[in-house]
Amino acid sequence: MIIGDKTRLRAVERSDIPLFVRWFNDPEVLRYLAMYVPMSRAAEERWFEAQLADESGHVFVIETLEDGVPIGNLDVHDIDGRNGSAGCGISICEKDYWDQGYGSDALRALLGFCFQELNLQRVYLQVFDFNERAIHCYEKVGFHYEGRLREARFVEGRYVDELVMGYLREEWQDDMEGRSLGRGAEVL
Amino acid sequence: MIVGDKTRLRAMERGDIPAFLRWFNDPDIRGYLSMVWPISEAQEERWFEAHLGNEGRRVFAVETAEGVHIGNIGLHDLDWKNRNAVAGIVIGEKAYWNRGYGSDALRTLLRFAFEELNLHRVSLRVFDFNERGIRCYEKVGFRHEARLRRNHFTQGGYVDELVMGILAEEWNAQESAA
Repeated sequence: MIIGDKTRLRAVERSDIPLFVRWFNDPEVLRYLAMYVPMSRAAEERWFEAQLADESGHVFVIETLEDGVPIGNLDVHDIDGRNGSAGCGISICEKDYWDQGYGSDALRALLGFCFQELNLQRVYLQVFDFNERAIHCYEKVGFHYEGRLREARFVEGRYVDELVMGYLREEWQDDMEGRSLGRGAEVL
Repeated sequence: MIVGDKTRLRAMERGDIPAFLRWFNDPDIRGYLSMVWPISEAQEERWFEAHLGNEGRRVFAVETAEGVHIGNIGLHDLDWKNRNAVAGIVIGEKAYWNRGYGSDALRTLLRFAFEELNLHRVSLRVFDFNERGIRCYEKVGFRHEARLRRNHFTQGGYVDELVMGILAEEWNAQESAA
């Protein structure tokens, strides 16, 4: 379990599958993700088994710290040990929990894990340029804008740009020292 | 066969494997690629067989008009929903560096990508110290899009990787202006 200030990150269980099927068939959630085909329970079961065997990444369920409600998930993927880099992604799928700082907190906890435990030196993500709420969140957490992949995705009948954002370990360390909270994630 | 002005792109054959081994074990060439480990003939044969069955990737041999095999070029991560692909090129025969063969092969590949494959966008990645590569890509029409900071570790330090891209409409505009 990775513990943040208002969220905690736990491993995915088989019993989460029905929840994932509900989340990842919700158009309001999907619109910000690279997923686009309606998802079956069978497909989600297969995905679950595949991620168990996948050494190049980890997927976690985000729960509220206060009462353990699963509200979304996040992952670190394409872990490249030699280069010390990985990509990450996050989705708060329970819409009642949007815009309340849960995503930022979960991401901060994940970054602490990436830099302090996985020994990474760079974490990056990609985001659609129309996803202003997410971009705002990533900037707040400390990601830096690295570029714009022009018209890289076709969604909702048009090509949209995708932004690349990155966060380096030394930036994270500087930010942590400057932050009054004074800590990243505590890993139990 | 895809024919350019001074190069042509043909399918790879098993007989090309010895040339690949020579190129991809040459430190002058490897430094610009993300290949890390010394490569064996057995590994290269396996890569070749895997390539035959991979629908998301097409690699071609680059030949001069006289038929000398000087390098490879390819499209990776072919993505039909987004009409997107990533290009990669290596001129393995160093005697052919800085003579416009790479640019011609890339233009030939882009023409194929936009005019036959119906792609909307082609991108590529290049290490920031590869000035010859960057100049070539700019000349061919790629625009700078992103700098992935400290994305690659080589020769004892981290280097940035650049992402460059060209869109179908940009390709068409520069072709009709030419």
